Amino acid sequence: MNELEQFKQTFFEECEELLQRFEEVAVTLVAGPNDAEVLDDIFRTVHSIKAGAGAFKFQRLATYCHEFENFMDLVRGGKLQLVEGDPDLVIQAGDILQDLVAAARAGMEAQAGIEDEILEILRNKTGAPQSNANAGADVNAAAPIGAGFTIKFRPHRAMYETANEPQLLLHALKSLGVMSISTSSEALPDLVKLDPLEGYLSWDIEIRGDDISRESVEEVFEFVDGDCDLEINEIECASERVAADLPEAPDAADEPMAGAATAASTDSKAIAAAAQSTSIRVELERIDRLVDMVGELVIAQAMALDSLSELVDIRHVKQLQALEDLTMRTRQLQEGVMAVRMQPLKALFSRFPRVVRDLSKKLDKNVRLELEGEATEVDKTIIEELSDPLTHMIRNCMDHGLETREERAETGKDEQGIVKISAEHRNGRILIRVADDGRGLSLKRVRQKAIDNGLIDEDAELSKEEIEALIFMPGFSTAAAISDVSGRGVGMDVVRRNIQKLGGRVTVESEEGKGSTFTLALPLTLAVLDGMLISVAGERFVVPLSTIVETVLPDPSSVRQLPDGGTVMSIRGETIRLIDVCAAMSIDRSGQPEPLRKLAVIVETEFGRRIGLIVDELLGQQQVVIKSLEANYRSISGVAGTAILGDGRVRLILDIDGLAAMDVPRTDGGQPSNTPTDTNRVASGGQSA
Amino acid sequence: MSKRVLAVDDSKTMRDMVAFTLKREGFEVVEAEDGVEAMEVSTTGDYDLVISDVNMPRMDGITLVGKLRENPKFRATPILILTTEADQTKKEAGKAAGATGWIVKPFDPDQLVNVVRRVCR
Repeated sequence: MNELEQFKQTFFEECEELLQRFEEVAVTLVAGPNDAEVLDDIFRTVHSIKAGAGAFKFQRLATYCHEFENFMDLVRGGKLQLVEGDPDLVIQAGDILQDLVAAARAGMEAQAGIEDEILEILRNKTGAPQSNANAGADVNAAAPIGAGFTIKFRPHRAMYETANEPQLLLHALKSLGVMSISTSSEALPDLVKLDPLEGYLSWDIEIRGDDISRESVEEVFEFVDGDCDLEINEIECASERVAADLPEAPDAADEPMAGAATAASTDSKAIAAAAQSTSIRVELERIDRLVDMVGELVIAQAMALDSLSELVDIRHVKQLQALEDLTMRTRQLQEGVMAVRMQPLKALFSRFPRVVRDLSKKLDKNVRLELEGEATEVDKTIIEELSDPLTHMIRNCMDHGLETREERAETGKDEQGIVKISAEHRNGRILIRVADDGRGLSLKRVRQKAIDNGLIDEDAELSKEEIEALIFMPGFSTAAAISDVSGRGVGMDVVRRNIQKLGGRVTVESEEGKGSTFTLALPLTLAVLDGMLISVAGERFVVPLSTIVETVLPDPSSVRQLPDGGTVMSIRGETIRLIDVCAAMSIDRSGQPEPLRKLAVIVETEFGRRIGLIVDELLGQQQVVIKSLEANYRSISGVAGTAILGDGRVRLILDIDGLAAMDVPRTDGGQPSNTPTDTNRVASGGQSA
Repeated sequence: MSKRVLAVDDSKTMRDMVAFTLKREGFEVVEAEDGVEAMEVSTTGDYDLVISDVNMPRMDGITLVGKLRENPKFRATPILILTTEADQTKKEAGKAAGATGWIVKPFDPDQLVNVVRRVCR
């Protein structure tokens, strides 16, 4: 059952839909208690839930469904009429069903006995005995075992008509033991009289083995029973032969019903045992606590390292090694614990084909969904939060991004539009992209809309990226009419906020006429970061190590000022904008000695754009535990979060993308004119640890 | 050329599980939500196996079996129906309509593979 665990999510979503529908239709029973369609619908709902419950071994739910289903089956078949009060009963039964499903979904036990009363009533109505709803695998009690069996097997015409093949059956038989077989073609007539659809061949089979049960032999022939001559005789150690009855379908089927209550064959036990040994259910809370503790351990270890490194120098080889060892093992422990919470995105992705299919019908657009990177793993808490934003982005792509069939035909595009969702790990982050090959963002329209909504000035000059980022602002919408598919213009900014809450960011890249790509970037681990400690004017900050490309000592000749007050540096032919961290963080350095030469730490932003951070000193790498600034205070542009360092002090983690877009105060006292203030902050601010 | 199976069930969960199991066995899986869709899809190529649930909207599994058997293309195609252990009559009805065999829900992947091997090369 282990490998089927991945479908649990699908099952519960399906339950959600089914139960919703149940509510809608059950209500109509009050007015029309004998509507065949409604009754059938309700039956199928319970039936479907039962199947899944059985597959995932939710015993209580399966048992309940079984009884409820029985009742509904009789009602829909006309064998039982719904009388006054019954529709309410059905509705009530549906409520209990909801509770049981919810409990199963949450991995908890519903309150004991909530289903008892309803079941009692249903049973009374159906006159059902205390049925053993054996929702588990349909197994028979193990039968006595002999030394083997002799089998006479002759198919009738009817068997071939149901597309059963003797060869496959004999093959299946062979797997039970050592088999010897002889074919008899006595009944074969002359060629002229041969009817190709008739069964003439028969086989004499002997199968020997230590642990072959009659049941397993009968099972091989269970489908063709009645459509063939079949004689199964046990080979006893003595020469005595026991005349076997031809197994009849009804009898064999009755046994499970009668004996199932206590029957648990070795098969099902083995399956259960196997499933148990390879996985274990753990409350998420416990894992969270574990993650927290390990996080604190990392801090403690860093602090120990810090204070000890004052005492220990190169001479103390043994001690240094021990410290290094400790650091490495702490890190390993941490990675291991974080991995416990990681889940593949597959379960999340598996929902999307349905979303796309439903929407393409609704919008009358031919759309193909491509999924890539389903195996990419993400922290469990993040996965759940991703569902809504991703679904919304897909809807957005399909509704606004992709053109209508006619439009696509006109522009020579393939009638089938493509929505591609891909996921990958990169640079210590998860990147999830939702791309479409639709019309892309119309820069003109976006810009105009932003002006109309008062988000930017008429004469504001914006780069392509800056315009694209406008769609994430609150109250923005380019839809000519607000369609109910993607909802009102609140869509994208809510998405962005949700992603930011997870410590990630969402950006868009688009080419007019070709399509758009939305990229979600999320931190891999929410708790810990590898950082580079830097110092400016005596203040320390942390720069995420994954963003650092290199560190250089800028040659004054390669640095020059721009007319707008900004500073750039040339390095290997590339021009990189420099940001004075001191100024960006509004640190007053009067009274602080300025270092003779400052360093430029070249870092890379989301888009791959590079900027240089001007700092006084590099203090070294350190692994830090991230604590959210936003959760404890509020979000500040340019700051991705806070870190607790080895010395126990709290430092700010720089948000590279935020800094890159920031409106850095000019050092010459003038007003920066190039970039509008608000859009930049809003478009790229947020946590990016 | 890989074997092709038509999996029919109104429950997505079931379809997913069947598809998952059979893909591992080398099947190419085509899905349908109910009998009507299955009939439409049946015209789009050859199938080596059909697996269908019984209780579905629009057209149930037993009816589907009957209709498929009327089509010469499916005369010799193994067709399995998914039943629950309580559905004894369904097994017989399925047989009568021409079904090759059945699988009892809930099943685990191994059971499914076992049955499939008995009816399909």
